[in-house]
Amino acid sequence: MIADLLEIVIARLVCDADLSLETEGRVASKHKFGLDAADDEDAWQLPSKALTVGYAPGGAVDLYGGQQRSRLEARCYGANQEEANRVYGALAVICDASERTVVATDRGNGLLYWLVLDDSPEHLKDGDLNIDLARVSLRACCHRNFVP
Amino acid sequence: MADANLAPFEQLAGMTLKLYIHGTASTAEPAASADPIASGFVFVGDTDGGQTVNHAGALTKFYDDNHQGVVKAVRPEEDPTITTTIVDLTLENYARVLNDAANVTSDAGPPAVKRMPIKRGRMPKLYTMLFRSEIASPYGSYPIQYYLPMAVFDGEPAPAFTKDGRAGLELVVTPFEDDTQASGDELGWLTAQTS
Repeated sequence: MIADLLEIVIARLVCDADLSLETEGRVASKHKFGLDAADDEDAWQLPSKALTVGYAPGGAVDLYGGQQRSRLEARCYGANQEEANRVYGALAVICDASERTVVATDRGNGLLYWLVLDDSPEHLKDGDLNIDLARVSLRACCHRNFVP
Repeated sequence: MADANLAPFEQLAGMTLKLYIHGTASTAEPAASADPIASGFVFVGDTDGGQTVNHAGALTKFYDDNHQGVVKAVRPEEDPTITTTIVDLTLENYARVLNDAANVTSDAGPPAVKRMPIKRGRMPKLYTMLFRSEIASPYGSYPIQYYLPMAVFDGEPAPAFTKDGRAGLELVVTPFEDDTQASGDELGWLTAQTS
């Protein structure tokens, strides 16, 4: 069993106090807007500030050292661009302060080497959800093995 | 259609070498099929970017008035090297590349610490070195190994600590002439298992 980089990154983001304050815990790999709150207690109210992070192509793989490296796409949601920017700002602060850290996940402790910004943000509008978002690319790296 | 002359095992592709060292120069070569650790060799750690063997030793050429081309040549110096980058940076591995793992000291603390001097010292430590792959023989899926009976860690490693990168120690292994070896073998040799 190898560690899942995306799981480790999301676990790292979820435990950040400032980001949680902005998103009220709405951090996941896929958005939960549009779900029926009566059926799913995790449904996200629309509109609200939230962050999704998923795998994206274009990362440079590590052929030698057992590292999992990937590009990630982050989508910072908000009722308007200003709110989306606030989520992006909290994410950027985490990336700026990134250094090697052990991250607890449900399957074990992952060793996250880095989580950094890979480009500047881009404003988009999700037409289906009618919500603003700031899209930004990240680069992240962890070790394939869990650590004590 | 594939060219049948492109024989599979002769193409040395998709392989890397592992570096083992022995603290006593001129230690005998372990058998290609044997675990070097059993002979007292130490694995120096994982590397990044593979290994490069450089058979440096340029010819000095001589010409005369009666010919356009070279009429004689000599090789006045030979300086073969093997370069790689260690990324398994325990203090022991770090100290070996700088000079000698014996320079690492421990203190039980608390907190428990290990300590390694930065100074490399005037004289490099002589090692027996072995660059080994278990599958890289050009004659089949067998081991291959460069054996250097007397070699030093040369080069000036510069590990870089960055926000999105891995620190590594680039090392240059330089063999010395070991006069205890047979004529022609003084700088070491390459052994490939064939069956």
